[in-house]
Amino acid sequence: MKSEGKKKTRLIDQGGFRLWLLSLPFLILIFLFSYLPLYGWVYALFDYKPGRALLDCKFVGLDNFTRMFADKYALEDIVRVMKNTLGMSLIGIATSGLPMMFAVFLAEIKSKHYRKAVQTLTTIPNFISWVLVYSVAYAMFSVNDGFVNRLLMDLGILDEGINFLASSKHVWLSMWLWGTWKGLGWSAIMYIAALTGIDQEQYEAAAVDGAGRMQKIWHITIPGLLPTYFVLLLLSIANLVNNGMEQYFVFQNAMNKEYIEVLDLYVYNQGMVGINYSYSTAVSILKSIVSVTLLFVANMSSKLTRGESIF
Amino acid sequence: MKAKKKWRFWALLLTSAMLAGSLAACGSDNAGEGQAPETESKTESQAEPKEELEADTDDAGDDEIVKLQMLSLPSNSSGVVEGWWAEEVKRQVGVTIELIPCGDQGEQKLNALMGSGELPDIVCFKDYKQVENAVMGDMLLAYDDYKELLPDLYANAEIPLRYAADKLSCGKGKAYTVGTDAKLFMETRGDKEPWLRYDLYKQIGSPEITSLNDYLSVLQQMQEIEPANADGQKVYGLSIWKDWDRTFMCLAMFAGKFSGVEMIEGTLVEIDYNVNPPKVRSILDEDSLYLKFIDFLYQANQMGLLDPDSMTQRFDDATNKMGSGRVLMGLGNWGVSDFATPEKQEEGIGHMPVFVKDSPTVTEGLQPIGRTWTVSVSKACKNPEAAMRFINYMFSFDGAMLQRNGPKGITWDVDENGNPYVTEEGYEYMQDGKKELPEGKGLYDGCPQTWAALHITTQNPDLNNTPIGNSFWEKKEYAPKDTKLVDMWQEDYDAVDSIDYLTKNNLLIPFQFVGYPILTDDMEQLAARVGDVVTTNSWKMAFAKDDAEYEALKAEMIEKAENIGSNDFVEWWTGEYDKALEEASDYLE
Repeated sequence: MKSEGKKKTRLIDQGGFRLWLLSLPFLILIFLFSYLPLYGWVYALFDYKPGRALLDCKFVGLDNFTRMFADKYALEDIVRVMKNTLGMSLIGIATSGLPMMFAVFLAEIKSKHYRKAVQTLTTIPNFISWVLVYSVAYAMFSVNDGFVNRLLMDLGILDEGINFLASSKHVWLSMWLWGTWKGLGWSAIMYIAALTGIDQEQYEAAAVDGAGRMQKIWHITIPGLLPTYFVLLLLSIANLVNNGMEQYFVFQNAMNKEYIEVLDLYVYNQGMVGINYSYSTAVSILKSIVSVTLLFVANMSSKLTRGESIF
Repeated sequence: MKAKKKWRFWALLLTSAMLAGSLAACGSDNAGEGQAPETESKTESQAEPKEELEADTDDAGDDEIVKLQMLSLPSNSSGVVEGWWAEEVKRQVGVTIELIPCGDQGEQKLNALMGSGELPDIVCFKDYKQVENAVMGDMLLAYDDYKELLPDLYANAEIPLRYAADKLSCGKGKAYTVGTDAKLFMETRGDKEPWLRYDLYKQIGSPEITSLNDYLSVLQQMQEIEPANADGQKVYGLSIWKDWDRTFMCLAMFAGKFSGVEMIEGTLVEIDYNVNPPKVRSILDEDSLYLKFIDFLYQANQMGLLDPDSMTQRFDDATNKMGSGRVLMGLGNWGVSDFATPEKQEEGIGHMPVFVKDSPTVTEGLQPIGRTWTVSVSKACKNPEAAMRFINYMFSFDGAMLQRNGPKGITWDVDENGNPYVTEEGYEYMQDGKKELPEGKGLYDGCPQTWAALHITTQNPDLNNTPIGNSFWEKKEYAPKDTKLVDMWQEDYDAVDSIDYLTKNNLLIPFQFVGYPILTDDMEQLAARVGDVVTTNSWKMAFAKDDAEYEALKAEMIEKAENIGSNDFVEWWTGEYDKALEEASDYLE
């Protein structure tokens, strides 16, 4: 008994064990939220109907996976949806420098009050739910009552209101704009934090060397932020097919459906609206596989070109 | 050592707090989709303190007030029900009702809840398939097991219960649900759609309307007279919405009614009552009224009559437009009475029914098994006795009279001969829906906008077999006279109201009585898949730029739908419908 007690105290005294204990809650959380849900993949192998026990449902094997490619319309859908997903994600990646630029310029503002005000105002939209964003969008852009159309008509620029919301034109772009409006301030926070990590002495040294403001930004600030930028870029590549559904869900209508249906929304529409849970599970499994592949490719190319990688 | 201990203590505290926090977050995350849980929890937290107080004061009695959550798919309101109805229900059965928000995503919410394995205390389903799924998942309580608590239900809904046990129990032979609004007598009074701005219609000389598309030129002339409402906002011929769409553009159903065609929600068929016997056909058939309706919308849009925001707005937005006089034609009476106040009606302004000449109107026929809206108590209900008490009350004559006519002694009463009558005060509440009753809320919004247990034509044996609905009661001398608007209409049509007019002219056709076929899993999925194509393309067709685009979209829709299997569905459904028609006689007594 005594020796056992001794052993225990010894274990708890070991630094590694204590650290492991500290991280344990997080490991549990990761297991609960990231690995346990994978059990749900099994639904793709059955013809699942909500309400019935899984084992009471018909086992269909890989039917749901083959259907994605065997059924002409399903394949057409998948291709279209992948196009939308990648298209919108790539626009997002192409403009992923924006939050960094925003942070840099924000930091250049001399007046502290003004800077804080701008930062707060640009961060707030992140906390507005998409449903509310849509009602704002409706109030702004509806054809004859929306204030944008009314303004344009009153100014004599337009004769008739433009139906911005029910339009199949520029869907990707307008979705990107809404997303940027909502997320710009929030995404800049990471860079604002990174800015404080840049050694002030470098700026002083540059000032002594006669560097101007833009030169300081170009030669010190931006190189200082680039590592953060690349880590975030890699992570966003892993999230390439993961662009969420809320935004597209609230904005979707018959006109823009062809261009707005991203993978997540498609999974929702197939499962919840089309009452085909098993098929939509299969589609979302496909999504995970694509994501993991993309992450590995991106990580490898980063290792080769920049010598940096996330793992 | 001390410092170490302290550190350990803080670490433990922090991690446990984080764990608890994240678990709590997960709990609320699982509650449902999107914004809904937010509003739910809000109403809950607002309601709770008050309720606790009430529960405390009521503790003196033997019963505590039980809060029951109700998911009602055909519901247009949400939150804890308050006002005169809620107070009376609390007194009668000790229950308050919280309606879970459904909006236009009720089906999806139901599916998510079914997936979780537990349904809210009381559920009102929209179709038989949903019931069957829930019974199969063993999520509902059988009324038969609580018979002693349900005397009124068993007395007043015997046939719906029998049908539920026979057809909706997956062979278990018990009634897990009950059809609402069972209709055993045809109504003798009432109005039918479509509603047209009658004052403007008369101004342009009441042109004859012989087909659906004839409404268009009429609407155009009316729009020319009144291009904007009093506030200067643009006036449209039609303003529609997509909220109720499932397998097709739902508002077509209402245009079907005044064209003699019944469209069945959640399917791909319509039944044409213009021929005898009625014919079942695909909504994509070249003669289908559905396609005619889409064409009607397309023409309307080309003529600038269709509200361009139709595709992006919600039911509420459209109803508000109707209420503020911005819509000339209503496919139903949504918002009509908000616009045509008694004062306006006295000036002869407002919407009245204007039918297609000689075209039959279909109407709900006798439906002894009730509508496909059926009500069940969930197995997960923590207080099934209270839920059963509530259901029983709803199906009792007292409960039905309350729901249909308001509180006894205030809006209505019984005279010395035992006949019900509307009180003088009652008419005031009826005319002004915003006027608050003594226990709060107006006559109409005090009652939850959801299912009704007994049909208005149901005869109440306690009151000399008078029907429940007050529109069938004898009027007292103080009853408000018909307004000028109604007088005008009555004179023009030589009838009291729509039903009177249509009956006189032999134009009112009741639906055949039938228990609608229950879709199989495959058929349900097929209908949903085809429906997605049909709904999307229908909206695009309505807003197509020109004939070429319209025709291309139409061809694409039909081709895609047929390739996915719409014809198989129609064939299957027609067969099942014929079978159901034969079986129906078992429930007609």
